[in-house]
Parts: sequence; C-alpha cells; structure tokens
Amino acid sequence: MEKLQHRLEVLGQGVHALRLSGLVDVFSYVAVKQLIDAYAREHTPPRLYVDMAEVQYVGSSGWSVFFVQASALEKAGGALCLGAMTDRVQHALNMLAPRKGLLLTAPSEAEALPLLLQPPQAVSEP
Amino acid sequence: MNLVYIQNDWSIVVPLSPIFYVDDLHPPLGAEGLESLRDRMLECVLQAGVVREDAWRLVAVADEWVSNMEEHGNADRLRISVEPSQGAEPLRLRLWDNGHGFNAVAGAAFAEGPDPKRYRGLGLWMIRQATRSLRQGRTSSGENETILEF
Repeated sequence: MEKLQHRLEVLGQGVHALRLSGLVDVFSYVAVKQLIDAYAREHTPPRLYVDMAEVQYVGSSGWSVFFVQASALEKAGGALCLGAMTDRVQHALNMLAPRKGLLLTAPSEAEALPLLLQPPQAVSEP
Repeated sequence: MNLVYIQNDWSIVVPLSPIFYVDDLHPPLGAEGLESLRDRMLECVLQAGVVREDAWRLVAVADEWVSNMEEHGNADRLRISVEPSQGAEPLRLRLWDNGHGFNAVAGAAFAEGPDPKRYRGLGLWMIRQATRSLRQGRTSSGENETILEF
C-alpha cells in the first residue's frame, strides 16, 4: 500500500519544498492539511512548492485542501505551487477546475521558483 | 449533464456485459480497501481497452461515490459494474447500494466548484464534471441504482 509520505526541504530564497508521495485521498487529506498548516505557522511569508511527482492519486478531499491552503498562504503574503504532477493527477485537476489560475501549478521545481517569489497579486487570478 | 431521478421500479438502461464487476463491497472499506478497489478497477478497464483518460475519470468517480456512500449512504453492501462503450452505447458506470438512498442527482445538481473557504464537497462536483449523465433510481428488489455515463 502506498501510504502518504512527506519530506520538507529548503529550496532557498525563503522557499521550501514539501515532497509528497503516495495518495492524497479521503484518508490522508487531513495529514496534508496539517503539514501545510504547520509549515505556514513557522515560515513567514510561507512560500511552498509541493512536489507531486510521487503522488499517484488525489481525490476531491485532497484537492479541497490544496485549494483552501493555497488561498490561506496567499493571504499570509506567500504562495503555494503544485509541481511535477503526473498525467493522471494533472488530468484530475483539469477536470475539477478547468478554469486556469485557481491553483498555481508548474511543470517543475525550476519553473515554480520564480512564480513563488513573485508577489501574490502577480500570481493569482484577477 | 443530464440528471434524472426516478423513485420506483426502474429498469431503463439494459445492462451490457461488464468489463469490471464487484459485488462484495462492505463499507467501511478503509484506506486499503478503497485503494485496492481503485487499482483493480483501473487495471481491468485499461486491459479492456478503455483509453486512459476515461479510465482515470471512471475510477475517480467510483472513488467519490464509494467515499460518499461510506459517509452518507448508510449502506452495508455496494456493487459496481463498468460496461464498455459499444456502438451508440456510452461507457457506463453502474453502482448499487442497499442504503437509505443518498440522492446523488440532487447533490450533483447543486454541487459547486472549488472554493478556497471549503474543505469538503468537491466530490459531487467532480462527478458532475467527469460524466455526461447521471441517473438514479430504486430497483424492484429495493436497491438504489446509480448509472453514470461518460
């Protein structure tokens, strides 16, 4: 069974990477919420890259956490960016939120960094 | 999306031979049970030739339905069947439960999209986004039947 695993790393310039692996579903979304809550409490401004490369599946409860937490981090003057999503996970996001810009995403860590370092107004949808 | 709710003795859509069928699901499935269901279903429908994007949607919808049934449906037995697209017949996901009748049609009709203030409630939105029709009724044997077409 692919349990949810995580690792927090410093990327530099005040940006951190939360590397997730496994499943973000109805059984693990609370853990993801708590991880991001804890990160946001300890880092100001909270600028978080969530590495999704090893996440096999995200259910609706997992997506809700990412939507809510992205908004919360933005309000705290930071940002949250999901990156390196697999085709399956990206497909689910496209299905759930076909309107671009609801959630900051990037194909890779390198492409996420400049987005996270911009002021929040510049990365959120008008 | 077409939404239909029929209350009694419904048998509108004739079943085709399924490419995936499971009739021994007894909630709560737990994390391992749900993961196993998703994996088995995905493997079966891919082997049957369903394109991967449709297979992903199918599995996501089944996952959301089972999760909703566990939370709201009060069922102790679930059945799932996937019928292949054949000619004019669309790919179809057929779900049965013996619970008190969770009204997914109404839920999907009023489901709202992603909201940065709300942690739950996206499941029915996902079902609505992923399917082109949702029909629900009660069989003559008293089970709730939900049919989703892709």
